[in-house]
Amino acid sequence: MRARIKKSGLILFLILFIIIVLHYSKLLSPVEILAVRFLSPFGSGIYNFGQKIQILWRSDISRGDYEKLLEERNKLIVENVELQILKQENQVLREALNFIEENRYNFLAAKIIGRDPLSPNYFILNKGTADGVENNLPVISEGGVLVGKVVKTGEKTSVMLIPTDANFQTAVLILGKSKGNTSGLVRGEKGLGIKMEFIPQDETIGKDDVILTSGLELYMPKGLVIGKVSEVSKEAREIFGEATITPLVSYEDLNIVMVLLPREESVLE
Amino acid sequence: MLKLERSRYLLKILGNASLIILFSLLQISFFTILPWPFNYFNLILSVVFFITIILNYGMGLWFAVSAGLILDLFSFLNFGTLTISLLLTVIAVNFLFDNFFTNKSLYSLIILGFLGNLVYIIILLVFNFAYFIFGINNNLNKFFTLSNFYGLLWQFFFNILLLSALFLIFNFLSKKLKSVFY
Repeated sequence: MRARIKKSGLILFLILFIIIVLHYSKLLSPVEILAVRFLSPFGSGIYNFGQKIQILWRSDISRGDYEKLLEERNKLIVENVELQILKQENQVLREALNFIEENRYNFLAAKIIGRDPLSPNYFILNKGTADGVENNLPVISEGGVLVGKVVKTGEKTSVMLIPTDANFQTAVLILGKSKGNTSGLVRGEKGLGIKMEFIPQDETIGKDDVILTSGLELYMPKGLVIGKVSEVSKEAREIFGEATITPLVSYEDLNIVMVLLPREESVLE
Repeated sequence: MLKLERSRYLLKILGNASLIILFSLLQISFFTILPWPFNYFNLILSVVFFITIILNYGMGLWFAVSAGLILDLFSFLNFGTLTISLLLTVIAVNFLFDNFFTNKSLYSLIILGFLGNLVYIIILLVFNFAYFIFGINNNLNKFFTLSNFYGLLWQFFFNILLLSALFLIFNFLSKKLKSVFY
């Protein structure tokens, strides 16, 4: 009996070794694609069910009212940001007498089907390289708010990291009462919040200022809203200050997101 | 007669495969979205320990590999990490069971469940250290937070709770009903 089990164990190790080798040599891709295609709808269904019963441990106002208010608020913030950017661009156009075509993004809608079993800040999407998804592409909510970045891709699935994770960081601007746009870097904090670092001491920032991407990163366009400033921390002896950012969306409520595919080049006439 | 046995055997395999898929998907798509600390609950680990200790070591190995492969398909970690971790954990648990906690009592199950969980976490930590050293990825910062430490303590608690529940249910039913993992 023991010998038989030992033999089973050795066979299992061998099978596992072969599977891992086949995976990394991409020969197992067709099987993996089939497996993911088969499992994704069930995963998505279970995820949706889980989100629906979240109401059992979420309190305050009814879910419907809460989502309506949230969506309306996010739309207004995003519209306001877009108007501000248009205003600035209009200024540049008037000065230089150049014409810039409105930036067009290619969107890819993706469903969240689960999260990494070890790290709940990694969300699994049902779209992968076969659909055009690449690493470092930004992911936005249906309302246009930045909700993450693609960090791992497979043929039919990809993994998105949300901004509250310590491994997430991106270059941002603050749109606020100051005349110029304050720039800095945001980084997730222990899965709970977002911190903005390297804010020059002479910059004026305040509560409720909007944080948006600065466009300095590859694939990350300018103007994607991340959140709002909730607290500012500046020590006189420090070179840079910090701000705490409150995300505009609850990442727990995400179901369908949009992956921003690399945009077409803008046209200068 | 032979045909009937063969079809029963096939049905058993189908039933086991369905359960493996169900538990894996529950782990990926349901437990991970529960609020802290319930999102630390590791269903696969508990079930694997139960099968290995109470039912059948060979079946425990197959369950660990199958469930591990499904988890690896959707995991952020490099493919194979979770499967190898589960497999090594099952081997370690069986070694402890064979040499130290040789009776199939509730207390042995609880202690083995605790030790097995600890072994699993250590193996994952070793993998993540290796990935960090070789510059493959950096997830170490997630392990060394207070929130994660408390979460892992809860994981031990939930696993022991589930193991105890499975043990009591199995003991209650085993005289009247054969388990599908037999």
